[in-house]
Parts: sequence; C-alpha cells; structure tokens
Amino acid sequence: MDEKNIYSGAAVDCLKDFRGRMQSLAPFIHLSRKLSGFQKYTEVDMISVGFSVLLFILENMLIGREECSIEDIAGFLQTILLRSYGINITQEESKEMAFYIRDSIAGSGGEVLEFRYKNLETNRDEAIPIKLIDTSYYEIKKSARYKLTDQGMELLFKTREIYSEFRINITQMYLKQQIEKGVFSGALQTVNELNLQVRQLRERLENLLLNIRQNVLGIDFEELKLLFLRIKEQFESERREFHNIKRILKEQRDTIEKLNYNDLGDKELKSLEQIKILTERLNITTFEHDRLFNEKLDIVGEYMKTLELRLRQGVSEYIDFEKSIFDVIISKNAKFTHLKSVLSPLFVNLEQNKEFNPFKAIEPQRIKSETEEEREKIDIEQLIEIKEKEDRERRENRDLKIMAYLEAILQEAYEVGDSYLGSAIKRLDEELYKSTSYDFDFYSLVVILHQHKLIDFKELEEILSKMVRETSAYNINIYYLFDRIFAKNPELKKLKTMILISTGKKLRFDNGNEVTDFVIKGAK
Amino acid sequence: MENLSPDSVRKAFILYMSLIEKSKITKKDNPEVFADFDDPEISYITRIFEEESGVMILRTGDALYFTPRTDNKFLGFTNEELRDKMGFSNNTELYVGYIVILSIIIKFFNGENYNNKVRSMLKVEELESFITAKLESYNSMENSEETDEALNFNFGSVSKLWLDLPTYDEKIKNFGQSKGTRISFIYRTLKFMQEQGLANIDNDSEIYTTEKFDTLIISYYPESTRKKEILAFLEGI
Repeated sequence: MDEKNIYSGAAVDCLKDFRGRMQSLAPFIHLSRKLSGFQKYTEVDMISVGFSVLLFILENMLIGREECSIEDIAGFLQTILLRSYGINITQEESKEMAFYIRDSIAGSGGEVLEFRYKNLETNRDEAIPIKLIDTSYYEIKKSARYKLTDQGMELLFKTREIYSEFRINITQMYLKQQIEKGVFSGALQTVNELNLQVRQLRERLENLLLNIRQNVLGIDFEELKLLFLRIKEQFESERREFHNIKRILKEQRDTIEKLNYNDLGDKELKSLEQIKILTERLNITTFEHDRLFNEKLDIVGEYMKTLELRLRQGVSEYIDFEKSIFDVIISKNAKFTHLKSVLSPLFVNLEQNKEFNPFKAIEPQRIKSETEEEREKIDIEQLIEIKEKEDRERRENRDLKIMAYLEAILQEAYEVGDSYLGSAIKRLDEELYKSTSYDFDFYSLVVILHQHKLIDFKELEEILSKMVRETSAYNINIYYLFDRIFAKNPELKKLKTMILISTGKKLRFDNGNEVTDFVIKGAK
Repeated sequence: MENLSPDSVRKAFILYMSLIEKSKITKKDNPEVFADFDDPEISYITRIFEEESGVMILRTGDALYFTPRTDNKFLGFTNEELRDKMGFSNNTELYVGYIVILSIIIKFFNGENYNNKVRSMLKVEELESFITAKLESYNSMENSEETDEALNFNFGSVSKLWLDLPTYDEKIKNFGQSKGTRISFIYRTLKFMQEQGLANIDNDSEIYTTEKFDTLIISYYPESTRKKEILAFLEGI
C-alpha cells in the first residue's frame, strides 16, 4: 500500500461517528450564530450575555427555587448590563432583550430548530435538532416559566467538562469528599445539584419512554436492549453510591453525637444541624432515584407493551397532513363537510345528552370546593417545600415554647430584680410548668443564659443587625427571641441588663430531676 | 369468550362510563380502572361497547382517551351545534375553523416521515401566515373562480373570506369575541379547542397542544387502515 492510501484510510477512520461529534458541537455553534445578530447594543457581547441567561435559567432550576419567567430573565439582564457595561436599560427594553435571547436560542419559545451540516463520514447532508430551552410550566394569561432541556443542560455541563452519563457519579464523588472533610454547607449545595440531576434523569427516561410510545416501530430492539443494560448498570452503581454516602453521613453524625453535650461547641452544633438537613435532602433524592429505578426502568417491558398495543391498534404509517389532506382539499375545492368528516373524531359533544331530573330540586345543596386542581407534576421541589414548611412550623412551635420560658425569667428579673429560677417558672401555666421538669430545651435555655454571663440589652440591636433573625433546628437564638418578646411586651425593654448566677441550691421536680436554682438578677 | 362473568361486565361498564364522563382515565388517578383495561375479558367486553356506541378507545402508556367515530350522532356535533359553540354564523365561517385546526395539526405533527410532535409551541402569528400562504396558493390556481360558483361552502368561499379579512386590528381587545380579522377566527377556534381540552394558549399568542390532542393525532390518524380510508375518501371527492 502506498503512503497516500494509508493517509486516506487514516483520514476516513478519524471521521468515525462524525454525526455523534457534530451533535456535541452543534448547540455551541447554534448559540454563537443565533446570538450575534442583536444590533441594538453593539457594545454588548451578546454571546456572553446569552450564555449567562442559560446559566441563570439553570440556577433557577436548582432545588428550592421557582423556574424563571421572562420577567426574571429581564431583571437579570438589567443587572448584568448595568454591572458590566454601565448601561441602564428600562424594564421594557430588558424584556425585549429577554425575548430576543429566548427566540434566538429556542425559536419562538419551544420549537425544535435544525442545525444543518455535511456528514463527512457518509457524505450526506444531515440535520441535528436543537432545542436548548423549553417551557416548563404555564398558565393561561400568566407569564410562562422556562427550563433548560436536556440538550441545554448537556451544553452547560460540557462547559464544565462533565458528561451527562457520569454527571451523577461525579457529583456523588464530590459530595462524598465534602462530607468526609466536614464541609457541610458546600455539601448541601452539592445535594441540591444532585437532586436536579436526578430530576433531569427522570426527564431523560420519560422522553425515552415517550419516544418508545410514539415511535415504537422505528426503534431498533437490539440497540434498545444495549441501552437498557447500560442504564441499568449506571443506575445500580449510583444506587450503591447513594447508600455509601448515607453511611458516611451517619458516621459523621455519630462521631459528633458521641461527644458530651457540654463539650459541644457552636461548630459542632452547626455541623449537626447541617447533617440533619443534608440527611433529609439526601433521603428525598435517593427516594426519587429509587422510585425511578423501580417504576421507570422497565424500558424493554415498556417497548414490548407498546409494541403489543400498537399491533392491537393496527400498524402505524406516516400521514402527511399537509400534502395528503390540506393540499387535496385545496386542489379538489372540497366542501366543508369533507374536512368535517376528517376532523370530527377530535371533538366530543357531551352537553346535549344531559337530562334534568326534577328530584334534583330536593337534593341537599353541594357547595363547590375552592381547592385548586392538583397540578399533575408532583415533583421533588414540592416534597422539599412541604418538608420545609413542616420544619418551619415545628421550629415556630418550639420558639413559642422557649419564648414562654424566657419571658417568665425576664418578667421575674424586671418585676422582682433579685430572684430565683424556681420563682420565675411559677409564672408559667400549668402545662409548661410541668414540662420544665423534663424539657431538654428548658435546660438548654438556662445553660445558654448562664453562659452569656451579663446580658446587656443595649447591645441587642447591634447583635441582631449582624445575624439571621431565625432559630435553627438545634440552636436557640436567644437574641432573636428577646427581640420577639420585647415587641410583644414593650414594657420589658426597660430592663437594661440581666444575669443568671449559679448557686448551690437545687430545684427538685416531682419526677426526681434536679436543676441548679440559679439566681436571677435584673437591672432597670 | 362464551361465558362472561358479571363482575367483568360490571368493571367494563365502569371503565366505559368513567371514560365517557371524564374523557380521560389515567393510571395515576384511577389505577384499578386503568389496570382493568389490560384484563383480557374486560378488554373484550369494552371492545363490544366501543363498537356498539361508535367510539374508539385510545391508549397511551399512562392514560386512556376516547374519540367518537366519524358518523357518531350521539357524541358528535351537528353543524348547528358547532356553529353555536364557536360563535360562527354560517358554514363558510365554520370551514375556516376547520382549516385552523388542520393547520395546527400540520404545524405540530408533520415531521419528516414520522408523526411525532415536532414542536412544543406555535405562535398565533406563524399559524396565520401559514394559513394565508396556503389560501393564497389556492387563489393562484387556474379556474379557481369557476369552481367557486358551481359549489356552495367550498374551499373557494373560505379562501375568499379569509383573504378579504384584515390580518390584525390592534383596536380589538378581545379577539375571541370578534370576527373582524383573521386572528379573530383563530382565537375563536382556539377557544373551542380549549373547551374540548385539546389546546391551550399562553402569553396571548402561544399555542400549546394538550396530551389528549397529541394522543388523538398520533394514535388515530396514522393507523394504516384508517389512513387508507381517509385518503381514499378525499380522493373520491
């Protein structure tokens, strides 16, 4: 073989799977071509701005946030343009730009655009469908919400050098490292990303199933079987990894919980709290992953079922609605009844068959419920939202209880000046008074107050301005609770300082528990 | 199946009536009724109900829908009922409504050699320009006016009605209630499609088809025997 032929053979070899490679390249070219035509602000780099909009949409898809609307994108553009170019555009202009970017990237909002290219492997002109953004949710007369399609996600992830098949695996590895190193706040963000990826996986599987249902005869069974095996393996490895992560998380928690309560510093308490949230989120993610594993993974089964169904319904053929129907109607100048015959199976007239029953008049009247129709999509965000709501309620109830204890102590300090904890708790109602004998929160509160030594209420405003006004699941935020008590009972604001001093005196409860009967000192 | 069990007949009837009543049975909302459809005996009885009542049950992976057959007088619409529903005063206007629906089908489901859904949204403006281009192509055909005079309510009268209308009038606030523009005809038709659970409109100009519509189009029309019937019917005009 001469040298020239060897080169030409090698050249053809390197073109193998040219289409697959072009499929990866196409979204990038599409983005760059479509975004370079905006003339209004010549100084603005529309490719960067358009790309940042994709990142913004992704950011909003992360768990716990609502997917973004055109208004959100417009707001984002206003910020970006002001920040990077010093251009102050109006809301109207920013909306126009948002629509321009949406239309450029995703046609007029959701259609599949074609990227045409020459396949050098097969020497054929081919097209690759491109759809980077899609409408995720809409309500009539309201603004729609947008999300990235799997292709859009793929594009963004490729810019991070992570490929979709391994996305979950890589994120899991990352999460494992974060947990092992105790970087829990970072781990929380990673779990959120993982959650999103599992949701994306669900969409991918659903699309695959939809494709099977719509086009069962066009699918190569052998290819499908291979795909099924690959997905199954991937799923199983992800599942194993999820169990590993949960185990490591539990170990971390056990290690901290083994410490004596008095030895727990702020850092450990915070870690415990973060582990708790992490565990909850991770449970939701693994639950969703398991559900997919159980419900959606029977791809081959779905194929067989659909095939059977199709055979029962008859063989499907392509019908060209434009050429075979519309054009025939035009060319034959058909009467409207002909088209009616073709389209009538689409409509159902259920109203004409209603009959009035006179006995209806004596039936009890039903009052229409105002509950909204359940949205079809119960997704992971909703689950988290419910969970967070429950958490908030639980925290609020706990806050109210601790506030009652604290208010009793403050009242005692304000009204008596020098007193004892035993006297303060007598101000509580019967139920709460009993609970002081066993409630861990009561003991924690007393210890916290004691550890603070002299509490100067003059500093309250300053301290509050630097912290989040909320109580977390583990910590008791006494400043936040002081603030709420003072808002409710302004007279107590006259109290300038308070201190709880340890004594040898014990407070004994009926159940045998004991607590130091601290001296309470208050100064007005 | 010689001896049918009363229990199966009862279940088949519940399935059939639920479907007629709600127009849709989903695996999620009605798992038991949905599963009954896979039972051979219940499915056999349901098939008899379908045939006798002139409907056809269509199934996707997770949902069942039904469609009345072309000649179904019980569940179908008469022209008068349809005109009332869509607010049209004559059959030429009703014809326009049909053209709008057919064009929506074309824009959503005419892929290359397959009838999958090829887009998720269609702008009203794009639909209008598609219909206008099609009707203009009719007008440019030879002898179009001659055939027009020979028949009533034919395609020629529709084409004339459409092309004589202005496209859009920004003074009109509610297109669903006017008939003065091409856009008004589109909105009236869309309103009817919305009532039938076939399409939705968002941001005032974005058309989305529903799962029901997608199932009807993908499962009903491309079936080989039915396709042949439809094409033969149109050829025979």
